[in-house]
Amino acid sequence: MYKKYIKKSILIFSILIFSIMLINFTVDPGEIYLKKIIADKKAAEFSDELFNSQYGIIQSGWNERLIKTTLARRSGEFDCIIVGSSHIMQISSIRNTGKIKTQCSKLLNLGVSGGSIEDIAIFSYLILNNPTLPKRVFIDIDPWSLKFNMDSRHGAYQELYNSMNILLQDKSSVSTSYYLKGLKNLINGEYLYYSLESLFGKNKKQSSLKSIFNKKITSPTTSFSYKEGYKESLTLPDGSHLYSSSYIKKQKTNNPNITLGGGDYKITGKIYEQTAVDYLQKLLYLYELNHVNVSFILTPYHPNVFKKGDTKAVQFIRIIEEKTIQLAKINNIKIYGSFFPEKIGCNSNEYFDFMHATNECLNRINFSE
Amino acid sequence: MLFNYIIGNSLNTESGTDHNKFSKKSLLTLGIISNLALLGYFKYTDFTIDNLNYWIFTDDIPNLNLALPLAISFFTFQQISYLVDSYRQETKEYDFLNYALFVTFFPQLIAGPIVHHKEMMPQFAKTRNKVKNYKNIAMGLFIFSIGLFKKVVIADAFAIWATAGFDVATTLNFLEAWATSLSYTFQLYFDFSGYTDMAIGLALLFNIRLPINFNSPYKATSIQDFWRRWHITLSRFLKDYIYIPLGGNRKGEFRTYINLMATFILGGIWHGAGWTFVFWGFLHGLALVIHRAWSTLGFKLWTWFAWLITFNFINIAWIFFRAKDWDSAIKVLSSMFDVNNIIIQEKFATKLSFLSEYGIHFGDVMNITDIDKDFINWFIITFIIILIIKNSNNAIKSFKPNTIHMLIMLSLFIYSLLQFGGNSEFLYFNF
Repeated sequence: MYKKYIKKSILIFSILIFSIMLINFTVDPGEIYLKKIIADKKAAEFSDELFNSQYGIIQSGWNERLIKTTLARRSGEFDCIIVGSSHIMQISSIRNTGKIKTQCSKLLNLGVSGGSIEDIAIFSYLILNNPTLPKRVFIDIDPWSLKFNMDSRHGAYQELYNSMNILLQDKSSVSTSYYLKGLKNLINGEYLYYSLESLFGKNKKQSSLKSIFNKKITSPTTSFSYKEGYKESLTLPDGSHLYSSSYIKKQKTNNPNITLGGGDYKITGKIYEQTAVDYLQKLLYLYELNHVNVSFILTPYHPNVFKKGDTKAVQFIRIIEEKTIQLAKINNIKIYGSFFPEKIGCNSNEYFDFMHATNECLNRINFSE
Repeated sequence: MLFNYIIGNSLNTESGTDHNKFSKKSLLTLGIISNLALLGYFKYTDFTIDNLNYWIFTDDIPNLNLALPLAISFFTFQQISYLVDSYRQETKEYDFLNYALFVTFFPQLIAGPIVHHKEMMPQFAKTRNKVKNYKNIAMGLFIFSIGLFKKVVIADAFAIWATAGFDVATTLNFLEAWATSLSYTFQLYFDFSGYTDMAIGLALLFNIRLPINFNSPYKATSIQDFWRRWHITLSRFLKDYIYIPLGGNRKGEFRTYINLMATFILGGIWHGAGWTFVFWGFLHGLALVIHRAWSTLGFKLWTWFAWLITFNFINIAWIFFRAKDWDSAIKVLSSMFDVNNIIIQEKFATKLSFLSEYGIHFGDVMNITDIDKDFINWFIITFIIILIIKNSNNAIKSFKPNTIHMLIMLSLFIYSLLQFGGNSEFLYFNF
């Protein structure tokens, strides 16, 4: 009687666990299992189309980090690469931002929203693992760049990050394998909850397997100017970003309302972590060993950010810029730009918001020097 | 282990001369002191250094920051009881392998129950226990699932509030303070009894029966009743190896009180190296003394009132057990009695507006954590579980291999597994 009961229990348990895993794997609200397999293929198609396109690809609906990591796998085809956050996403050789073409005839922009030190490491790993290496890599430094765990989105590329940490012999930063985490996640309750929500159509934000599979790679159909933008946001053929015309227009209207003394995006906790500075130092050394020239880029914050004295945000900005200058001196690295608008000469109306400069402002960073 | 085994065997050998008796006493003293010295070195060195620095040397002696060997408090007690019983000729000549298994038996090693050689060694030696027993496996899985659910689902949920109130918040209002202390009271019970259930369940898979350690302790209607229901195997150890050897209740009423106080202060320090633990032990000792004195007067309280007093005393005493220092303990305790700082949820503001005349405010009640605003529902459900629902000892007694028990077991087990990973970080990678 008990033997039968145990057998039955194990059977039902196995069926239930298998069903949970199957639901999580196929519905996949985080797009890390079945959806990722399809999305990876689509991203590869996207990169082929992008490099062959004349005016870029409509960006809407594509996972930015997935696209940029796919592009990074082909970074050997370029002589310059930019890595960092959305602050540098518009820097483009096509638009010749700040005369960058004088240094880079073929530039690849790998900037991603909220790009943090882990993203820099992930892209660097992909860049350095190409059979051909670029001549130069521009690393964007932001007020949150010298700290770990400032953005969770790099987690989808944990394996690449772990590989870079092994390369840098930084075992303290090697976390649990992404695959092991993924396996455990198949029986995660919260993941199951979102899977069931999607399954029963209660989560409209989730893209379905079908929609990922049928996702179209679309190029702009009408002519547009870089200054005013296309009706939808675009990824230009060098990976740089062009905001949509409606966004550009809207932000210009909002521009005068930027809060005085604001600017506290990712301004929390310690200003920097020495372990992160050491980590970046190791990364710079790795580039040097591979004969890749590294430069830093700092992009200016809106003048209003500085109009309320030495706020927390201003302290972060000031100290991180000082720390970047120190690092650059030690490593004999050139710095382009500054967080301080007056050093670049940017005006209040040359911003989308408190930390995103427009192309007009970015043009004032002189890359030809 | 080998040291204790050899000493235990030497103590156990039959001999009658006075000279040998004296030697045995010395041997026992050596054994006990060695065990306590090891425990003292690993667990209490830094505590002693801190006190020496505070009272005498003003920070001259650096802490050793020793890593505490896993389960040292538990196996030290088990081995001491073995030595004492060997001295009393109450042990048999056990096999060393079985002795080692008794000390290191993994299901109960970390969080108890504290087992006695008399109840374990015969089970290890029994040939019949080496044969697969499906009834025990079925019961083991059932009780293990209950334990896992208690720990992962209930205790870990309350842990978030307890941590927020004790360790994060700098100030607490009246309700937050009560929520904090009750959260810890519930967390501790479900955590500890959950581990015990898992240990009992795991042991049953190997045909080993561990003693029960909890018997609905929060149903207790007196402090004496509480200690008959809470960490039963510890109470047994304290009674047999400290309270009774000190004289128990055989040396008059006053000496009994002293013995009770001494036993519980030692019990307090066994739980952790800190004055707050000593104070917690002192409070319990004092409560037992008062209870004993009260009982001799022959007065009886209404059961519900006795329960209320007992439960609140236990709840308040746990504050000193949990707080990392005196200041945190005082922060929680003083806020629990700060009737000028009562804040009721905003949604009741219209219906209960008259209360504002009595200094009661309306606003965000649980500012210390935004995990769950339905904390009152959680507390009500938990009170129902601890006061009304059958405890796991009774549940296992009525266990039958039927569909209902199977569904209960599978639901508890699978739900616990789903909660294991906490929040899924993968959901946020793409946003």
